[in-house]
Amino acid sequence: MKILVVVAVAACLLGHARVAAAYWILDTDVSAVYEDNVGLGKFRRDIKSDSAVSALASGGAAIQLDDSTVISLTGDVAGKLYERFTGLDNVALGLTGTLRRKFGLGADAPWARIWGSIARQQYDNDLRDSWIYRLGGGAGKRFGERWDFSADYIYDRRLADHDFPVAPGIPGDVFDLSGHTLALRSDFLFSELVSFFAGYAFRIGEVASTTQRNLDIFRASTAVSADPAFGQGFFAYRIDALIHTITVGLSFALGRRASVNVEYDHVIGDARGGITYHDNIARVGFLYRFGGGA
Amino acid sequence: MRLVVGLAAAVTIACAWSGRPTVAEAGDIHALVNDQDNRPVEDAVVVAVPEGQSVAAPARAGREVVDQVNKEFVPYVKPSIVGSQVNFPNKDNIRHHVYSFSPAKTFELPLYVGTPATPVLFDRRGVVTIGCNIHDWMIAHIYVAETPYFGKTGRDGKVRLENLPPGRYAVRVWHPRMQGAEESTSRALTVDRAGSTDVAWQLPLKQELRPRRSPIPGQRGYR
Repeated sequence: MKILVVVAVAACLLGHARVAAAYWILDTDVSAVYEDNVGLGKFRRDIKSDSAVSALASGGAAIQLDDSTVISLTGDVAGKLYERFTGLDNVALGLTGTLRRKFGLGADAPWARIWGSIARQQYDNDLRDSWIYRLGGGAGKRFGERWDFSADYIYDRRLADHDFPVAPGIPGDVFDLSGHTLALRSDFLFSELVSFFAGYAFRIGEVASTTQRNLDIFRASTAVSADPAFGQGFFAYRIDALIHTITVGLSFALGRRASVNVEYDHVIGDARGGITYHDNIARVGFLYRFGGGA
Repeated sequence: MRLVVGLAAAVTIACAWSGRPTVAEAGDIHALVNDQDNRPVEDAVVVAVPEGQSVAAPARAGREVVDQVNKEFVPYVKPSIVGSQVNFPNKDNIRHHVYSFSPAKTFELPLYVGTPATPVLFDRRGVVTIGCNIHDWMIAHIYVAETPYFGKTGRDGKVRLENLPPGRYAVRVWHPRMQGAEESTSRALTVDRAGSTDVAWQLPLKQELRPRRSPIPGQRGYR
């Protein structure tokens, strides 16, 4: 309901924008994903790999407010289907608003942006159903013909619908999470058609992982709940952690509006109580941009 | 008979007005531009500058157009003569913001749709690189020549400069992706009366690196 109200208000605002200043945008993304530790488990017995297909469509309007400032508002629909752990299948519906400003003329001029999003994420398994709020701000600049750098700060807050405790005195709202992320990214243009990108993100906050019964982990956790998405005897737990994510990828342009992208993420979780985990994520995706954005 | 005399008079006046020689006393230059791999180079500007004589300026400054169509400048390379006025009609249904930092002409046409009321005067020789501040991949080049004898190669790498007065010329070539200076391509040529002179270059080109237009994961140009 919240989303419908926001969409209606946004549509009214955009409807009043001057036609010449506003343009429609629609990004679509379909990816095949392989992840070798979907539950973010620490122990070998808890580490489960899976493959998934994900799809995203993000459409809305962008308005050029003046020579340097553009504001955009999009409705976002995303879904992910897993091969093994179908309880993780999910669909998300959300809104993203962004204000971006360029400081100066030309492709090399630095830019800054602030953005916020709200999304409703619904899982096949109820435990993970939640509202997700994000606020971010960042800046970037192109250096020479080949390099682009950007830095972003993101605050995320996830509010879980359910609280299913399994032990007295320990909450069960495992997917009530928040965190602060600093993300750095660089893009390098090999040619007009091929670009390389690399990034590093550091997140401090809470994370949800899955394990089989383990007293040390439960003691270090701030919430524990049974996790049927991984089967009988598995428990999801919330824990304070530092997350490091290293990303590398290649993007191949297919004409003006499309690209094929290959991406690899290595995630290192360093949680309270000496609990660490690693997750490797490989992704091959196809991006297509409709409308005035390309 | 009266008609023939009238026609002859008209042709004479027209030739005198244009400052150009009649076909009978003019020569051509046939130029071919290939890259380092012997592939024809499109959009190379070939310019012939008469040596030791002043070239009559055209009777009227040219009116040129560089369009914006589907978020690209058309054409990509536009040769013109000093004194030309260039208009930049926006044929897209969104706004563009055209600018140039080039020393030969610095200007800015802030966000607009349609055709700007006043064209931009290009009054200095040189290369003017233009861009759109909204769509960073949009780039084009206006080559402003000091002589009326210029042309742009087609897909076959060829261009023909026609009706040049006989004499000695310094002929040079320019391309947006050329390695090295334009002056280093200069050749001395003699154009004969009613003859044609061939000239060819092998022009080493570098990679073109415009900001990419197609989407890149995590990079959202308009956000």
